[in-house]
Amino acid sequence: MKNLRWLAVTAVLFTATLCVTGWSVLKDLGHQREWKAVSVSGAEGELDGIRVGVREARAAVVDNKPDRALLFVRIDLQGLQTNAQSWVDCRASLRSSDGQMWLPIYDYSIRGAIRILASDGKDNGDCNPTEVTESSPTTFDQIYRLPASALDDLTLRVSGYGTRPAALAFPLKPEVRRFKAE
Amino acid sequence: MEDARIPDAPPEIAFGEPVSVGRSVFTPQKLTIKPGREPGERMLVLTGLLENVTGATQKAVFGFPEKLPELSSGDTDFPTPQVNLVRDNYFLKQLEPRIREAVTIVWKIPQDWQEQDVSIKFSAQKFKLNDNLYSKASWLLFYPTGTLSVRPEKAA
Amino acid sequence: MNIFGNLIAVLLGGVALGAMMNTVPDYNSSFQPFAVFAGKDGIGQGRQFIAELTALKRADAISYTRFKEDVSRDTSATFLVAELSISGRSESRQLEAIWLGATGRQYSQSARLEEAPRNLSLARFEPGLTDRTVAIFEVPKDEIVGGRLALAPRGGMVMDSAVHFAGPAAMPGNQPMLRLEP
Repeated sequence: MKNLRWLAVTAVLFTATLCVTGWSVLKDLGHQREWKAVSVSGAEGELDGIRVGVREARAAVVDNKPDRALLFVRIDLQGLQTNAQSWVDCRASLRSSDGQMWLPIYDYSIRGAIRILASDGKDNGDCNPTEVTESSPTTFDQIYRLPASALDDLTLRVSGYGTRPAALAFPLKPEVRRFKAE
Repeated sequence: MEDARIPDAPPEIAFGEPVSVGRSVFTPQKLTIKPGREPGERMLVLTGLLENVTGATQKAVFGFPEKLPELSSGDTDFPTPQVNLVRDNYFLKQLEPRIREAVTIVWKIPQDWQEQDVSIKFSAQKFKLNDNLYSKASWLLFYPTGTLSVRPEKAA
Repeated sequence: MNIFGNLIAVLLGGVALGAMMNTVPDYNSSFQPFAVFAGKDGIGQGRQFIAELTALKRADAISYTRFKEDVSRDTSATFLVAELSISGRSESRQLEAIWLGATGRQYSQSARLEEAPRNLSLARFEPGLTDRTVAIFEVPKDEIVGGRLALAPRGGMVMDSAVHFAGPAAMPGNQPMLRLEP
């Protein structure tokens, strides 16, 4: 009888340890993953007090490499500075329907394509919540490299470290422009 | 017992004698005064060979946090030196095991320094394969490994 | 009889404890990626990428053009150039390569050639796209035959896979000057 009690105590403590350590690990993982992505039907959505809008999506395919594309996406963010701070960072990633994820490219030489693809020929820089203000929307430009075949079925997901696992999911229908190789 | 606790003074080394700097072994060869790039500027250049003695490529050749050889001469304070790879005439980025490279360690000489003897102190980090915290391989505290006391030559 | 039985139990316990203490993985070995070996065709599948080792070349010196200027690098050992063809799987990832020499030493990619065209250290691999890349090492000659190439995601490698490619059976032919083209 006494042995059984000890066993029970051990089992309870073991489960408690598992829960305590597991919970913090799970929370950490949640800040990386976007499990609770909310689909947005239009071009604007709101997450943790920040309004996010998708303004432009334009893809470039060069005819000597027709299998791959560069995709330019322009988004803007607006909201209170305190809300923007709670985002910590900003991740705008592309998802295909089978779960592949493309992250924006920071390479300076490839970013040059933003000036060619943007309607006003300007590059407003990477998404950065510290620049977000309440008075007017702040524009950010991202560029991605992905297979041309993935362009038909893309979702843009926008989230911050503080909002994850929640994220906004925008359906993306990029306009495709074809360029001739020099 | 008190005597046993006090570590021995680091040995005096001479040119051509290898001295440990932790992850690598340095063999000093020559110390010269050279004119710098700007007029009136002088450089103290220690030439030598450096060899990685660990089993992997090292970025932190002089330990982490980096502790470069310390130069002292008279009352003058010398700034931290720069380590260059002679082959590229560019700063040393990494060192591969079993490949000995010629390097220069360059100090900018402050204006008030008169030509005199200098002493250069080398130190190394202690390596522990299993440290006391996580039982992982670690490079720990620095300890002095050798002192080079010489009078620099004038470059021709 | 009872004493004899107790003695055996204690001895068995001691043996079990000794066996466990000697086989428990330590910090240095448990924080390593899982090794996945590439097939005979030279294709290896990691969790995040698929890679093919297309060629191994040896050279005394390497030259390339950067910003319209010729750069050439020599070495006191030998340059080992691994030509690879890599595609991303689930998400955009940067990789790192290590040459595990015949003596067991680990050679990282040479930082002196980081800016060479198509260098692995500046490349990022996207899901669905296959890109050619080179990993350049500086190694003593006798580390080549019997060595192997390991390719792993950059950053956290814990619980991830590193793809290992077997080294050459015979010493690759030497080139006095290898030209790297974009």
